[in-house]
Amino acid sequence: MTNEALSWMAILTMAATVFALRYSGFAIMRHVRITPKVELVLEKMSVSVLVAIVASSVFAGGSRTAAAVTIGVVAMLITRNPIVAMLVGIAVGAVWSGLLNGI
Amino acid sequence: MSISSVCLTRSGIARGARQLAPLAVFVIPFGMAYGIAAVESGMSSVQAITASFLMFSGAAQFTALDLWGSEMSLVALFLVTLAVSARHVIMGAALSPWVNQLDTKRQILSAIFLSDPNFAHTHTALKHDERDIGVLVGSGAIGWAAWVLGTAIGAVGGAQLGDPSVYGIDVLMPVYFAALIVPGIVSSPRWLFAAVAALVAVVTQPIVPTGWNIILAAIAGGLIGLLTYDE
Repeated sequence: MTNEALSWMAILTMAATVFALRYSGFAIMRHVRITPKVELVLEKMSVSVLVAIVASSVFAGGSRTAAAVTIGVVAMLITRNPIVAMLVGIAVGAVWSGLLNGI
Repeated sequence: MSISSVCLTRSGIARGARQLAPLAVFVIPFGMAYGIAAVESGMSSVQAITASFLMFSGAAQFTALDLWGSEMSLVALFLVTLAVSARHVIMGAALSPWVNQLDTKRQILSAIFLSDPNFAHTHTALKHDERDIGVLVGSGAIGWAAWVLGTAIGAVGGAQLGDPSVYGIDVLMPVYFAALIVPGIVSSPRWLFAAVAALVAVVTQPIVPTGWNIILAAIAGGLIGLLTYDE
């Protein structure tokens, strides 16, 4: 197989995999009765995914990411607006990098 | 939970797109970074843009670049994509009480743009009485458009962005996700599951292949939720 053909095969393989995973959550749950217990597990698992993404990023990014996330969350608790929180977090990240670069 | 009158409308799509447009703006530089990195890894610009167009998965696409080249294994790429994207199964399952009330065509439409930010946005909105799955589709589609546009600019223009951390945009996603989940966690007495999930994600990150730490954390969080469940 040429490199070109292999690359296209790779892109199509990955695209099909991603779509199948996106759709399979709906498909699987068609066969599961949604009891309060099932609902609770789904809720905790899906929030845990987001918690895990945040925790991994903070772990990898260190105190700068931790500061941005913490101050962003404070902004969220005050304003109840996640877009404002996001902008505050970005500002913290930028200021932190600016300070390190001696601006 | 009794969920009535779930729908998927054009106005819902437009609302979702509007709501996440401020976030999508910041996705463009990420797309540019991917476009530049993809071309550097040996992809043509057309391939890089097609990958973003068809996959719309920053995590899977960036991870795949590490394996890219004439010697790459399709099986390895499949396994990496599986690991990084397996969390979508959990997100789809969490949305299923709403989405599965729609017909198959609309379910497929709901799946196409399912990603971390539009899941986080829509799942929160559904818990606050949103009933239009168009919000999921619209908020996903605007992110997808930004991702593809950014990739095209990066892959074709090859403009040097410099270090994204200078602008602070590298912290965008963790801050946004934390902002969405923390109010719900602190207002509930049952925050133990979140603490355990965070711990499992961090502890297993250096040990397991990319992506699996997120799945392990989700399983741990789900188990803790189940163990602390009162009938």
